[in-house]
Order: sequence, then C-alpha cells, then structure tokens
Amino acid sequence: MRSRPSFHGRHATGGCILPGEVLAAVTVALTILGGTAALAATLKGTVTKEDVIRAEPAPTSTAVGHVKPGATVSVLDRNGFWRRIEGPAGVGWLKMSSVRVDSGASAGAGLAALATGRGATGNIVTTSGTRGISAEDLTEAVPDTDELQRLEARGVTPEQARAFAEEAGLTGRTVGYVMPAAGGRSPSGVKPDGR
Amino acid sequence: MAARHPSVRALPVFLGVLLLVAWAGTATPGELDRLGGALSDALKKKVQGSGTTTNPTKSSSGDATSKLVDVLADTVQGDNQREEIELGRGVAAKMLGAYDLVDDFALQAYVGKVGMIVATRGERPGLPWRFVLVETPSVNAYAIPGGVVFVTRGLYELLDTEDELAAVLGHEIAHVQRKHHYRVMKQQNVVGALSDAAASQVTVDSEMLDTLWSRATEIMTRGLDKAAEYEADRDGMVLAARAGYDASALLTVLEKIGASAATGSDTSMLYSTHPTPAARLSALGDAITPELESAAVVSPAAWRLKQIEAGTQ
Repeated sequence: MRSRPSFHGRHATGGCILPGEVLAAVTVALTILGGTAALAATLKGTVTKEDVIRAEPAPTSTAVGHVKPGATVSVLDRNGFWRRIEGPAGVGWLKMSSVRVDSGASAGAGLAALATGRGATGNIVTTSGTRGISAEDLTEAVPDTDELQRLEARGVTPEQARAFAEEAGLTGRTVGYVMPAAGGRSPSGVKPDGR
Repeated sequence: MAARHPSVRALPVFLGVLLLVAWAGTATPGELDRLGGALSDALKKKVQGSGTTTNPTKSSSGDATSKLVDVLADTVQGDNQREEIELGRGVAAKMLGAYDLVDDFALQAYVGKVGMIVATRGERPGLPWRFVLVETPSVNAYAIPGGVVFVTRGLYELLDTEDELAAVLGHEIAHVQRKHHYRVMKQQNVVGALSDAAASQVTVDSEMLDTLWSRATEIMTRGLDKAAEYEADRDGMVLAARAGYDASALLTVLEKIGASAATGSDTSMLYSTHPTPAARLSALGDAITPELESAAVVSPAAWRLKQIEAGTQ
C-alpha cells in the first residue's frame, strides 16, 4: 500500500514530517494521561429549555433543581447525553439538549475537552477565515471520472470492517430506531431501509 | 457487426458513467475505456429488439446487453437500486470535478473502515458504500444516492474521536438508507429524464445531459426538508450506537459545528441545507430512548482517530 504522490500536502497527516508526528504522538499521550483535570472550567452556556437539574447524569436520578430558558450557567463536564452545570440553583446534571454552549474564542478547545471527557488537544479551528467550494462550483463542475475511479477503488469489505471493529474491542448493541416525538410516522414517509 | 447507431457518437462520457454500473453492477477502470464499444453494442441490440419483447439471450456479448436493457426497462417506475447507484456515480463524478479527494491513503482507509462498521449495522449493508474525505475547509458532508459519502476536511478536523466520526457517518448513512436525496431526484424527474436519455434511440444532446447532471447535483446542494434532517440525526445516532460507538457523540459534533461557525469556519452551505445545530440538538433531546441512554459511553475505539492523525497506527 502506497499513497499517491502528495499534490495537496498542506494537510497531510500520515505523511513524512517527523517532528509533527512526534508532537502529535506526545499530544495523544498527554491527552490520555491528562484525565479530566484539564477540562476548561470557563465554558459558559445558555439554557434553551425549561428543565430539571438532576443529582446524577440519568433520567431517573433525583431532581435537585430547575432551570429556565435564557439562564446563564457554567458548563463543567459531560457524561453521555448530560452536562454537569453550575447555575444559580447550584451544581447538577442537565440534558445536553437543554443547554447551548456559548461559542467564543475558547469554545472550540473547551468543547473538544467536553466531547472527549479529557483535555483539549488544541487541533480545533484550523480553518478560520477560509471559504470552500460553493454550490455553483459543484453544479457547474466538469465530471472527473479519474477521481471517481480512485474513489471506487477505496471500497472496504464487511469482513475488513468487522476485523477493524474487533481490533478496538467495539461490541455491537441492539438499538431500535426512534420515531419522532410528534407521532408514529416517519416524516419523510420512508422506512429506515428506504422502502 | 453492423454500423454503429448514430446516437452513440454523440453520447458523452458521463452517460457512459450512467450506463456502466447499470450494465455491469461494478465497473473496473478498464471497463470505462471499453465503454464506447459496449455502449454501441448495447444500443444496437436495443434497436434490433425494439419491435419484439426483450428476450435476454446468453450469447457472450448479449449477457451484458440484456442486463442493460432490463435495467432501462424497469427504471421507468419505482425504485431501482442499480439506477440509484448509477445516479450516485454520476453525481459523485460531478462533485469530484470540484472537490479533490484528500490525498492520504491511510486516512482515507480509516474513514472507509469506520463508515463500513456503521453501514453494516444498517438496513442496506449490500450497497457499494464509499466513505471519503474531500479536500475543502468548508464544514459539511454529503450522502450521495447509492452509498457514496463525502466528509469535508473542514468537518473532519472538528472531530476528536472515532465516536464522533461514526456519528457523522451514521447521519449520512441514514440519508442513503432512507433514500432522501434519491427520492427528491425522482420527484423532480431528473432520474426519469436521465434514464430516458440513456434509453433514447435518437441523438442525445450532450448539453442536455450535462444540464440533467447539474440538476441532480444541485439537489445535493439545496438541502432536504428539515424533517428529513432530524430523521437522519435520529437514525444516525441509532446506527452508531448499534455499532458500539458512543450514542451521544452526534450531540458533541453538533456543538462543535455551532462553535466553529462563530470562529470563522465556512459552514455556509451546511447551514443553508440543515436546521441550526442548536435546533438539531434540541430535537435530539426528545429522541433519547433508554437504549440510547445506556449506549452513551465513550467507546474503546474513540482514541483511534487521534492515533491515526498522529501516524501511530
């Protein structure tokens, strides 16, 4: 296996710049060692829905408080679908879907920390101020069949995928599809399998 | 061999792309080169057989020909998976005219494997799925009919864990499973018109075909109705959880997309085609079943994304 020669090397990650690799490896190691201690405590959030604050990050946990939309809270931690917050009513766990983390200069790194439950790795927002390809660029593009062939050569078999899942210790679960809250019907009128 | 049908010479390469998969299911690069001849034979057979019912013959060249005729015949009504794959290839080729694939074999292989882990937990594991990164700083992803998924470099760089990558891919897989874009293309007669063009016995104007491909691609850039996006969020979360990933990772991705817009990332197309990240987060709050709640655990594969980035795998 060999990668094509790099014509767009500015982003190459698996490539040949050794100091970068070492730095990245160290970053990963530090991240893993860092635990949750490095969590950015300065993140602020705004409550978007009236909701209950609970003692533990679980829907069945004891209610310890209550928040109203618009309230400002400090966002301290994350556990699954829950955020530990500190507000006027004290500290507790609130559904992630009921609080919006305010964006700001430090939000990217702070969110990275909250996403992973570990320290920020600082790789966020390398794309500032740049614009990409527009809708017009896409609709007016000349089809590139060579690139399509390269894409099609990148198939992964189900067996390769299974081996890659096992390598990391991923284990499957039984999880049912979720219907919209409003009613039992799919809004698109199409079943999950497209029928 | 009789003289070629006059229409053949006028057919541009992208019609060839359209026809090839319908004809063979999977085309190798070499087959693309032989396109002219195959297409010629196929159309000639069709002309010859047009007065009678199509009767698939098993002669050496007739096998492929009869398959093509079958496909063209049954694409008039209803869904057809080969047609969908076909259409996706044409749209993917078009989009690749604007986007370059990220030139990093290891990274692409990684994304492809994670995508397939999730896709095989879904309803259409047999599609020719392809999960690739495209080189643009814009934050976005595309679910092209037939199973081609593009994730932009800009979106990939916001991700911190394999769980989050699986969440993004799960959302796109859900769009393909539900045939969201394919249905829109059918409703707007793009699919029918392309099939008609492929089946046409009169000269096909290359400009007209180009217009049809542009219309199909435009549908990818215009966005679906919001309900379809919420649906893909819910399904995608379920698919990633089934595969063993953190069910809550989609929510952290949405938070980061929301934050990235404020720090100057180009999220314009994503925002023009999706409800706001805040609205999606809020909607997901109503979709968290006990099964999902207990699947909201950082997976043992979470750190692979950073290891791949660091080149330690």
